Amino acid sequence: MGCDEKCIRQVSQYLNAPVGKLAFDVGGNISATLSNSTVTGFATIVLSLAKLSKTPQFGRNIEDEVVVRQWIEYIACYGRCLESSSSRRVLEELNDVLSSGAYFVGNYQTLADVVIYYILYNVMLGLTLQEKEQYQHLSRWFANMQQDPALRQKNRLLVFSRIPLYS
Amino acid sequence: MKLYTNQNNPAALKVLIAGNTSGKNVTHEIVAVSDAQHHCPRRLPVLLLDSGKKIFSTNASTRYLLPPSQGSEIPVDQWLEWEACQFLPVLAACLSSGPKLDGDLRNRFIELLQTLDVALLNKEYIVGNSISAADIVLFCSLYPLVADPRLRQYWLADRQNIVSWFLHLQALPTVKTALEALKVQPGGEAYQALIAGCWQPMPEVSLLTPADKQRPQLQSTGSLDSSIAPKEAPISEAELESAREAWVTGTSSRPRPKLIKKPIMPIAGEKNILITSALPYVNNVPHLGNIIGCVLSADVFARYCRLCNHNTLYICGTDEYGTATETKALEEGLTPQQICDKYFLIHDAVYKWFNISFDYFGRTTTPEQTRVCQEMFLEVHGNGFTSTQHMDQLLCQKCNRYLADRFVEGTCPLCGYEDARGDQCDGCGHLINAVELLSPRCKICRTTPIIQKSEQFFLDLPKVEPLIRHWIDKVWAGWSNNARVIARSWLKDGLKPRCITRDLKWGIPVPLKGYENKVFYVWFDAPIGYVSITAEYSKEWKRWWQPKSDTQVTLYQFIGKDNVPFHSIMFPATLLACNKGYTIVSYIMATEYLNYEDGKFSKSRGVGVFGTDAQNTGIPADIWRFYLLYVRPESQDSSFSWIDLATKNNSELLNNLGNFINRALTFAEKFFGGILQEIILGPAELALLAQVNREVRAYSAALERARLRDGIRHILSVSRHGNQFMQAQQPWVLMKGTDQERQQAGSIVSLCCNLACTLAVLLHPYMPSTSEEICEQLNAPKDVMALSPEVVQLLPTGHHIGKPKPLFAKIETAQIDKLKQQFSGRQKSASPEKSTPSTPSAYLEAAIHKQDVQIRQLKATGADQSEWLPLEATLQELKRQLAATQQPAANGPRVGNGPAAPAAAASPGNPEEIARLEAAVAQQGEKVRQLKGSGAERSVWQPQVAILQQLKEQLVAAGGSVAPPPKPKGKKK
Repeated sequence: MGCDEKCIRQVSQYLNAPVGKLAFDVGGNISATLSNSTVTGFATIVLSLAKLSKTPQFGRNIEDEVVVRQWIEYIACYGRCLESSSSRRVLEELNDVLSSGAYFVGNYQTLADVVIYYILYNVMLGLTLQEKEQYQHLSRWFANMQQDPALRQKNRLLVFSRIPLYS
Repeated sequence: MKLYTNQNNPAALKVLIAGNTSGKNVTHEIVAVSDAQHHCPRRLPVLLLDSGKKIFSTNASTRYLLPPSQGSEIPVDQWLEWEACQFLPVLAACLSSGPKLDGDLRNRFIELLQTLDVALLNKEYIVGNSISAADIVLFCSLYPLVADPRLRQYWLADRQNIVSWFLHLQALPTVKTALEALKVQPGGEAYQALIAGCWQPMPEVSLLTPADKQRPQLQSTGSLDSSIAPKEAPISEAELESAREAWVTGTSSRPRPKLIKKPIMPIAGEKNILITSALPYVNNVPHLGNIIGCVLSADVFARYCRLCNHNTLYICGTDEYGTATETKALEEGLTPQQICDKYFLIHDAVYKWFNISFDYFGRTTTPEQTRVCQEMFLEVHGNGFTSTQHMDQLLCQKCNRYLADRFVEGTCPLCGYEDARGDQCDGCGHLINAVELLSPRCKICRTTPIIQKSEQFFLDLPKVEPLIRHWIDKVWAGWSNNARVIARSWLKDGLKPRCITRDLKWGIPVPLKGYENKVFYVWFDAPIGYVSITAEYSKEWKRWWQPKSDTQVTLYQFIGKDNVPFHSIMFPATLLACNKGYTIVSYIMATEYLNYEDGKFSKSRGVGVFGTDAQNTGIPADIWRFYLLYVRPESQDSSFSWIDLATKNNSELLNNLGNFINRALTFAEKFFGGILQEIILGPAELALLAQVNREVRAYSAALERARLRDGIRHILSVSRHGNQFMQAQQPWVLMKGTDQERQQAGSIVSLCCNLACTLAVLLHPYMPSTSEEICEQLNAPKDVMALSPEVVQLLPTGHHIGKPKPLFAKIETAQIDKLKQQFSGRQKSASPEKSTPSTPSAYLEAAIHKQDVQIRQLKATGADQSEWLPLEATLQELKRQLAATQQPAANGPRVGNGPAAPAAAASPGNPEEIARLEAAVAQQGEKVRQLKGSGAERSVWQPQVAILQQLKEQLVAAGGSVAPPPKPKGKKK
């Protein structure tokens, strides 16, 4: 739950859409106050923030927007697995998806890439070089994403090796 | 667009229904899960868009096909996210896991269902006024569950809102077409298909606080039927070592009960636990549901806290002010104070019989209550948290009083029923507002009241709300699920001001000039009873309720779920508004409802067992306590069942717990003259101790969170382990062997006697008398009654035990059948008015006496003749009737004691007699209807009803049959 909060703050800063006080309600769901109404749930908050932003990165057409929404839901749903033993399964899935495309949606950066970058940062930070090499496509994508200082904010630049060392 | 899905996957339904609803054409094809064409990621169903893009999130597809209307994006998105991230993972895990369902998972699912049910209250659609993507995704996930009658009965028996919303959606043509096209099967397999198509994240089952997470997570053997065997993890080396360590060295350092100084007061630096049970309302005899709901649950917890040597104060009392007392007083012809005095004694006696260990059982009609309540009101008022407002109220000018809802009758504005009550119509069941009644009349004098504006005080909850939110955030995590859900739903819509005064006489007067004729509304003063009853207990009550900063007092409140708003919002609001550092509740432990067999307890129909009945059944109080706690409605409504009571007594108490203890003690007496032998710890002994330690830790963990049902199951597991140990070791065989083997037998038996002593400690909160009895049979020293975290040797080698006796008796089927019959309805003993006369002549005598007194009082006050003359006429009529009833029995020994006129029954089957009686029944029935129709008072028609019943009995006895009477407006069933 803690990483959701941090991630929302980073997305808010990146999109230049201020998010007010974040709170956990009685059921343990995160909620934010956006333009005087309460919005509950990680995905819904992120999507609402994007709506408020001048650069929402929702995708270039309606179909791409559907795919963006799909990935935001995916990460809200499976993101918590990253702290458990099923993290491998999620990383493999993401790696598979990126094996056939440079970004998650179409061939350009969208909100999906932004949110997944922030959510994955802690996990990537903890991987060894050998593990990073196993998720070759995901690592390539991540190494590319972190080059943007506006996106990276205070996150460290993580080290990736371009030359396969272990295979 | 084309949808690819595996067989029987409910998620595919979402997309088809959305397509049908929006009129977009979606075809579908069933494919195998292994079809590699749809991997990357490996997910089904997947929607192939015309542009060639693939969408695997069915919620995103649904939203794409049926976008939310302007302004409803956020609510729809919230529900889509909730369904995908929280609801579905738990639902799928629950329904696909077969019979071995994890208790926490089950509880989590119940909580989610409750959230959904609350959100659907009075709604056709979950967002707005038409079907949206949110409805569709929730509907489809629930479809296989709701469509299966067995599952629906199990999970949704008390979730009416979900069921009616679901049935409404299911009937829509667009939904029907999709259901026919896909043929998803009802039942659990559909969820297996769903998981096969797309893996689900492990659900977050419990909302534990960080502190809870650090605590070792013990598997719960409790939340389920004991028929489903828990999966036991193997005992580790470390556990064996720690069991030995505790056993060998723990005896000298084990906790001993500390001396309790009275009055009990909190002490700085120690754990101070203040426990309250909801104050039972004084106007009725408590039934079993009331007893388990609060007083008994709080009692177990209080006894557990004392076992842990915490400074524990358990406070309760009767709630006595309010309209219901006045109504009851009117009914019984007593003053409100007399009613309170009478029922207070009944309550007190019932709780004493159930062995409830209140430190003080008080009442709310005390000078202390008036003082504390008025003081708190003035503080709240002084701090600016009150407001006033004018409200319409009915005033009876003849009685010179404002009429509470229950004191008004009239014609229902909705259905035209003539005898509607001021708060609810018996004809159509609608809740109504007393001022809306057509042709209202005062229940007492039957004149028409006038509507008058009257100024009332309100507690300004919107102003207190920020304080409540700030406070509740810190405490809610430890509450029971239902308390959290209900409090959340109250806060969700924002709080509104609540009226706290009334124009009544029976209550605490408002201490302000100009408001002398008003009293506090009962919900405002009742919770303050907790404080004032503590003040009755000791002059130093402020040490509990306004503790110094160095002393921490933790308040636990045990209540039924209907009381949650008052304990989670209103009472804390009062205390916060006072701003005087009052102790505010930390843990709200709310129970659901207990049903009786398959229905509800009903006082008026005499269905169910009431506090006063339990003692007449011949079943000891401890057995009642055990069974009520065993079926405690902890996470959902549960039922009391006689057969189950007998089964649990015979299987769990008699054959498991009682059997183990009795065998251990009997062997010790028979083989070793009652003297405990040296205990040698071999591998089997250590394994047993380690297993028992697990149960003891789980028992503590359960009781810390007031999960009382779980606690009892851990106790039973301890004796189950003990029985298995004894059965495997067979000391009675060893006794016939070598010296060494006899020594071994001595060790086994003595270890079992020690376990019996541990069981006595664990059992103390649940069955105090049994616990005491075990200690007596063991001749255990007084200082064993304290809970050790691990099993230690309580009885040393050489200890001399007492005389073993069986602890429990078998409950026979015949006995249970008899009791079941006795309490199936209309039994007289449910009501405390056992003295109520039951023969017509006795009724009449009582009515005559009452009428007589009334007339004399009226005359004494110098009332006008016109006032008492009608009453005089009624009196004469009653006297005439009495004479008439006494006639048939005139040739008997004496009138009035015994059923009148049994002589008529002497000739069964006599057709003339039957005809005569039939005519008499018809005539009497007509008379009763006329009397009731004319609006006569109860005291007038009641005797006539009694005569009617008597005649009917005679008729049946004579061999006739009673035709169902034409219902006279169904007022009294």
